[in-house]
Amino acid sequence: VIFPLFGCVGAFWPKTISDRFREIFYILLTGIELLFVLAFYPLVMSQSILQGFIPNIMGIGLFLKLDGLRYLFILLASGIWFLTTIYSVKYLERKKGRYFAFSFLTLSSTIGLFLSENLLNLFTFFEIMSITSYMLVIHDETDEAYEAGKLYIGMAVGGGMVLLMGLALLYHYTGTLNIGEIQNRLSSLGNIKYLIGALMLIGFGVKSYMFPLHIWVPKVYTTSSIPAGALLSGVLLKTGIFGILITTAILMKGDFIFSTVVLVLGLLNMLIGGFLAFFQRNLKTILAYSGMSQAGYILVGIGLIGLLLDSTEAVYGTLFHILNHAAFKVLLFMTAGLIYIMTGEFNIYRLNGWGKNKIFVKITALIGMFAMAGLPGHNGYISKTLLHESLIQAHAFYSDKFFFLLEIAFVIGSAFTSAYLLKIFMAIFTGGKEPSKQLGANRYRKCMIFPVISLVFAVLLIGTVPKTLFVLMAEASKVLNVHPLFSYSFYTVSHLKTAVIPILLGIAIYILAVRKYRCMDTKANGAEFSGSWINLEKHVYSPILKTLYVLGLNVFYYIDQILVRVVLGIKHVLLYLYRLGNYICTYTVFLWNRIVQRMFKISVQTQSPSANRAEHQSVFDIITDGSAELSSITYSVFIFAFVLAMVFIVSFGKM
Amino acid sequence: MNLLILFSIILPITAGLLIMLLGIQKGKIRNILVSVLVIVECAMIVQLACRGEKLTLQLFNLSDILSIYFHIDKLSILFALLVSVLWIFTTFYSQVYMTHEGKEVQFFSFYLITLGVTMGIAFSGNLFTLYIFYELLTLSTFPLVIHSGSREALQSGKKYLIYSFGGATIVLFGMILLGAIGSDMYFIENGFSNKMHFISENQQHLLQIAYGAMFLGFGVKAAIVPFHSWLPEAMVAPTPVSALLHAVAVVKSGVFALLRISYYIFGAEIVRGFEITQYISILIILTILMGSLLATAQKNLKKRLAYSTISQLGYILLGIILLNPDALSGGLLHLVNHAVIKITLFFCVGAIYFMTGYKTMDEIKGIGRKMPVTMCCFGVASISLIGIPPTNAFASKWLLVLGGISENKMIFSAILLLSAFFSAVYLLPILFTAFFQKSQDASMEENLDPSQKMLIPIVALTGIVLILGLFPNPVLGFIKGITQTIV
Repeated sequence: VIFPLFGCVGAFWPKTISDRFREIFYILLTGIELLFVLAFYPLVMSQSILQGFIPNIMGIGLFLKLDGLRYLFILLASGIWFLTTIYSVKYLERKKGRYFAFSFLTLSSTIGLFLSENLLNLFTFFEIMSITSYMLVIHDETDEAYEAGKLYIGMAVGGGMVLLMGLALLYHYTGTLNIGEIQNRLSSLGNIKYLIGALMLIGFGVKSYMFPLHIWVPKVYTTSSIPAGALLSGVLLKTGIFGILITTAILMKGDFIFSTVVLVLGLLNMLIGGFLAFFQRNLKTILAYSGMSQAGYILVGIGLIGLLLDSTEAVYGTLFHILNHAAFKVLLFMTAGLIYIMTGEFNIYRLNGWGKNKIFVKITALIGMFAMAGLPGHNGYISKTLLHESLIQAHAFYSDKFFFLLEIAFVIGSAFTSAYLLKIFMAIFTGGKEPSKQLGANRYRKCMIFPVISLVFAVLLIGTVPKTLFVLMAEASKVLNVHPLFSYSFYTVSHLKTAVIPILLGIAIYILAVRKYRCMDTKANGAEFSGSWINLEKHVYSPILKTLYVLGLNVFYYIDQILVRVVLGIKHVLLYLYRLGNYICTYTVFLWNRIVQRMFKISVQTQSPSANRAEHQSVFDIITDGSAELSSITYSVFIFAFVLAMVFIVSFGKM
Repeated sequence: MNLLILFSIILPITAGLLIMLLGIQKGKIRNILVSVLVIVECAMIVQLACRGEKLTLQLFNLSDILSIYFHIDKLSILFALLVSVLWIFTTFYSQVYMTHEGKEVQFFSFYLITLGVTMGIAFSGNLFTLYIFYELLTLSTFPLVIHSGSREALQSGKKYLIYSFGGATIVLFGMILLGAIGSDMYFIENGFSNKMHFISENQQHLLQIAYGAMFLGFGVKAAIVPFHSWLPEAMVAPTPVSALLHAVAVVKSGVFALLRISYYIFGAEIVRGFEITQYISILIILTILMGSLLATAQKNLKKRLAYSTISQLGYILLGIILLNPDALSGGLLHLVNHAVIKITLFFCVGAIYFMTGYKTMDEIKGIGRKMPVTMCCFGVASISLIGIPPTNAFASKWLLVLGGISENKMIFSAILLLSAFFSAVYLLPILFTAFFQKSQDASMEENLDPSQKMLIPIVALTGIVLILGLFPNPVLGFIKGITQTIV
């Protein structure tokens, strides 16, 4: 059933065909992919769950499943991919063949990942995706991109290994890796399930920008090209989210501790991401940190799903935010790309006031930002309202001071969001006295506008008429065991209030920061205050890892050489003993002669010193000869050392 | 039919001797002869494999212990098949490669002799026979290691000899102990465990000592930690030798011998009672970590691969020592997978050296553009070695990890994964440098991929790697058949 999705991917290396044809081909391909996915719509709506099983692949077979939740994700993936492909055929200039080949591989593995029912399949696709997306990350081929790529792939592989460990434990204790079957078995396990959960959380957390593991995000975003960035935050981020969603809501079945951990991590993400984004000056870096903070929202949602097992708002909020974030973030990325094409610049201060008269870009950027800030009428509003609502529910449900703090954190996080967005907007589109002269004035291609406009449309559509997606959400929420929601009044006074407060707060922060502290110097060359004093990668991870590595290297170097060293050591000791013995011998002979002389006072013909010397010399000669010959002795010593080892073993054995 | 066993051992040896004595200088004749021979050899093994029954052959019988005795079971088929198939690829590869190194007569004669001896190891039916062939293997591979005749080569050859013979001495010590206990040292499934109840306390101790001695002794060839340093040194040998002998035949003979003693002389039941396994497993963990960590620091490509071999062999040994079905299947599967992957990696490195003379990390910048096919194969193989699904080493690592967990030793599994991470650290930079860094010289566009005769083995092996990864079930089924009878 789902096979064509994959089949159409393998053969993407048409290098010889002409450029124009290839471009059309790429677009068509993702378009067909999207159509395929759309074609499943009625099937999914008819509430049947599709399953495909292909045995014998990788030993355990390939087990795919399509239900409402997964459908939402693959729809998202293929839709975003389609739009980005249209955008990037014109955006990219070089090596398109390679880019798209790996892009399609990534697409297929992403969709495979969302469809996998077996966790081992999921892991497989996860790893393939990590490897192939590496090629997207380093597409620009600058040195920084390689650096970032190294970090990216290192974290991806490392995260994969942690995840694998979790999966192995899971398999051992439950005996299955099919998501549906694990559910019931895992909850009966004791504390080991927390270990499993933690390992899986770390594994997926790398991809979902979770707080202590986010260090690759700013680096990679800053150096990778725009389409890659859009795909990363639009879709690939969601794979990690998907994994965490499955872990929290389905596998752990809303375990209280686990969900709280996810919730708190989400909030941390939100705050730290927002806070750091506020201090950046590169457009892409800002988007990276904002991606982090938006991922925080989604994590909060997931945590809430786990906490309030049957809260419809939490589920809807999370799913909505997953879609919404993809829409507005990709929109913002594309807008940034347009700006870059026209000016060749990502630094927002150098773009100082450039966009005053660029109406199209201004509008799209504005809509994207409004959506992200959650202004009523845009899609971000919908999901943020729902999330906030469920946070209040959780507060009511558990009635704990703790949740009150969480709520405040939520508001502050949102405030930061609007603050940094405001900062971008002010810097690029207003303000500046005179636009810099060096900025180029290239035009963007017409076909790039299409995806941008369609995303704007999507953002506004979801924002104003969220009900359109309710049908889809209903199917998805069935998987998570909640009742579907059919109508919800988004535009009530209290909701509007919750939306507006953070925005006002954000504006306040912005004004405060700009006016009071001038920490965002509008001069392009001003000292950069980018929060680098808490750069986790530079100041925490990298020294620790480096020390460990060097330490390990040295220790193992000694282990490497240990046998040779022991043998050499024995050789030296023997030599030393030889010398010592020899010295003692000659000295005793000397002493003996003295004593004899003294005792008997007879004129014994003493050995003349010279003769003594000669003898001495000859003994030494023998020793030096001996040491030259000692190489063969070394070898016998070597074997002796073996026997020594054996003796040890014997004694161990007797114990 | 039974004589086919003997024939498969004798044939390559005599052919090798013949080449040496006649001194067939003419390249073409010699090549054809050697190729035909290895193919015939492989056909014989397949023939033996197809018969599927247990064949035995007694040659001499001085006493119960000192007898030359061959037999065939699934394990020997697995090993023999692996060796003979890989030998074919290596033959074609080295026919081109060795034009570079010279002294081909000498090379190919010892090359064939080694094949025969390895078959002898695979088919030996008791410990004495195994021991004889094990010593012969050292002798027959020594000339290959010192092939270039340089001072450095002689030095490492010497080291190789000393280590191997030292190990063999300890094995002998263990054999004497075993003989004293009254074992006839025939390979029987589960070995001593069958007559566990007849063993007294004292004998138990002696058995433990004997096991420890033999494990360390054979461990020398399997590069277990304090006895591993011959392996990186032996990389001075020509690449096909490094590839075949030091990643596949020699080290795997050590592993094979360890399998034989652990499961066919002592038996899993009895080994499980030994305390000494704990100490051995500490050594193995050191092996795994040391190999993968030091590999990251090597500049020379072959040395990097050599250290990686050490750590990968550690995986297999871990699979043996954990004594449970999952781990053992994982270990055996990894034996096969690692052999195929490592030989591919070595061939690629050899091809680079052959075509450009580059040996180290710094020199290979941008080589991926000049040798696209070779480096793509290298890429596939290294991704497999890291164990990223869906390639073949993933399956074996997965089984090993599961085995570690089910022995309640989660630390083993964690270390395996840590080492897998390190293998990414030492392999991926090779790829990155090869593909993404600019080379110094400007002659960019020329295609330096080696000639077809060298390229085809590489590509074919890569294909095998991929197929084994996507469909491990046939091999895994075969291996499960082995492990069922012995654990």
